[in-house]
Amino acid sequence: MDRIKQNAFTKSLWVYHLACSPCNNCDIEILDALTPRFDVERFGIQLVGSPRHADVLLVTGMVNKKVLDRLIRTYAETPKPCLVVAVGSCAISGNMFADSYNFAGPLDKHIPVDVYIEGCPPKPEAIILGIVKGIKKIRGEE
Amino acid sequence: MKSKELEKIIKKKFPDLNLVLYRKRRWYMDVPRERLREVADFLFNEIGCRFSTASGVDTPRGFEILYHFSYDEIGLVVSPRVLIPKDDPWTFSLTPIAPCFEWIEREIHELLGIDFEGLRCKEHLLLAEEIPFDYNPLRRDHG
Amino acid sequence: MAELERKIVPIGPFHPLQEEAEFFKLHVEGEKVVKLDIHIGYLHRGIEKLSTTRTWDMVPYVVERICGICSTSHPTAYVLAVEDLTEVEPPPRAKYIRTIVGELERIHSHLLWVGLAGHFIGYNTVWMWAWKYREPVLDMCEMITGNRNHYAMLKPGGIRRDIEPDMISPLKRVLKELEKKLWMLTKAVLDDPVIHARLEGVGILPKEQAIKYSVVGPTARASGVEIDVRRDDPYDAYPLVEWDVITDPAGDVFAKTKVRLLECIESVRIIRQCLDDLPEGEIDAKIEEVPEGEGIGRHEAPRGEVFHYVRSDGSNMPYRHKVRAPSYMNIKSNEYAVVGYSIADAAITLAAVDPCYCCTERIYAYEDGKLKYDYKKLLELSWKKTEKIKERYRR
Repeated sequence: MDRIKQNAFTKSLWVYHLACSPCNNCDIEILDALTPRFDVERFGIQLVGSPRHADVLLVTGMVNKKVLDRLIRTYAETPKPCLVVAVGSCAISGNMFADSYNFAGPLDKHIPVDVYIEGCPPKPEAIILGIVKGIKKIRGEE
Repeated sequence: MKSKELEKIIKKKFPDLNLVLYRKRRWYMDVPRERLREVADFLFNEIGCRFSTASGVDTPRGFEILYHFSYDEIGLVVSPRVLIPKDDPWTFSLTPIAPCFEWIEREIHELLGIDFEGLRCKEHLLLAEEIPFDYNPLRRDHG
Repeated sequence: MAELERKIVPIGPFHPLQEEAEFFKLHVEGEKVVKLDIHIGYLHRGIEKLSTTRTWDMVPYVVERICGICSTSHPTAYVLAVEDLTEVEPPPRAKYIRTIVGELERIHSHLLWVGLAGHFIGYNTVWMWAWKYREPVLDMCEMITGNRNHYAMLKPGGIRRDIEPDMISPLKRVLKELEKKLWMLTKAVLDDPVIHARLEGVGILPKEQAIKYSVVGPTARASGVEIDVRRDDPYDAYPLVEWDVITDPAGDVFAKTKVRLLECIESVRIIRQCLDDLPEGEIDAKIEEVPEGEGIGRHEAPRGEVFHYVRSDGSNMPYRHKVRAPSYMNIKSNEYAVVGYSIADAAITLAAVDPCYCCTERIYAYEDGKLKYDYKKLLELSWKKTEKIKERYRR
């Protein structure tokens, strides 16, 4: 836990949550990470209201045809460099909806993805770990 | 009122509509499309049923729409069934009776390609706007 | 109540994404809402079609993921539909365990809503408390089912996993603690004068409108419509234990809050009785095949009646599976409930029917065809109103 504290304190992350077509479970587990048991705010991680302020784009849910346009525009608006995180099986691969008539393809078909957090839904611990791995990855490049 | 009494009332009012007591709390009846509004109005306004939803089914003998009305006092679901010919896919909208019918009619319209006469808003409800109206995913011959 | 100073969402200049897909499009004149347009479909995944390409016992996995918050409600209604069709009853032990899981879900869903409602009116303490007390409920779910959400517990004919005898005492212990905290939270919320002032008389849905829109669940019960599938069309262990249907005639957001909080207390009562009376025996009636026919199953989910209809042609996959979630009926009633009230009340009124969380992220207000307020701005207006009311009480 101390290593995570160390790494996370050095950068205060602003996170924008983009929900495509989720069942809401991943979204609730993301919000859960803000609540007292996990409390990521003490690491400086905050949810922001606009993609233009975001360092991290957390994408949940299956990409469906109605939402695809909004997804691409939101990604275009987010200032680079930004970390794109696919949260949950639906964002990563479509999960069991992959053969639906409304499925527009996995997330990395439309925008480049840096971190994949697997799970249905991934537990808040997994989400935090995923973001930390993403931070290390970015710092590794620098 | 109890189920025996309701059964009598429905059979008296609609003797030719073949009320089937399929299960203890699941009744079905066959309704020709011209009499749909009459039956729905009776169940919703006179008996005081709540409208649960409608199921559109593509079957070999035609499109079926089952309207599920819930008589909460005894936990009963009465489902009038309308059979619609595939080469003439339309029926009467129930939106003049109450606003709760609008969304499901729009949904059946876009997913099954059935037209509802009297339905004012026929825009897509669930599918993306650009998708044409002859794209009907719930039809068995689709895709 | 002491307020946390930090806000979860920072205030910043809003950038209207002009062709942003709204979910709730409010038309305003000055500070009043005059009309509501609702656009759904952003979460449409074609599940009904998917069901026809899955076998009867694979379908629960798909329908579980219709909604993550009431994730056991859809499988419950689906298996009840199949059991209606096949005329098979699950064994008594399965009924009790289904009830326990269903009620645990009700508590965690209502607490989730109470937390979000607190956030919408600027009471972030309520959010943190409600979600903190959600955690023991999720722990209980994890103990019984193996997962915090998406339990995969149900199958046509019974359930897939049993409750071990050594789970009963820890469950009862957690339940006892939880009940104390629920009472505390309920009293704190319902006795707070600022919450009263903020939520009473707001977003009223009168009884006649509730009937015209055929709303369900707490939305209906808070408008004086006394319906509850658990009592009206009994299934599982609900007819075998004692509990009350909670209603309130007021129809406003406060009534909806009260109904949900008191329902949590009833759920604890139901779970405790189920744990005490849990019968021994089989957990699966082992349905061998599904003959031709049709079935209807309904369950009282936290948001209201979940309705599933299945049709079988005798094969090993459903011929047709119709799913109707409770929010489908309830969301439309907002067309009535939000009109005539102030813009500052819009966010909480729209959230009061408990639609899925992502839907409420897409509320936009337009005046004369131009975007006036986006979701974040509407939240801030709501928080400002609460602050003003608090000022009044502080003096």
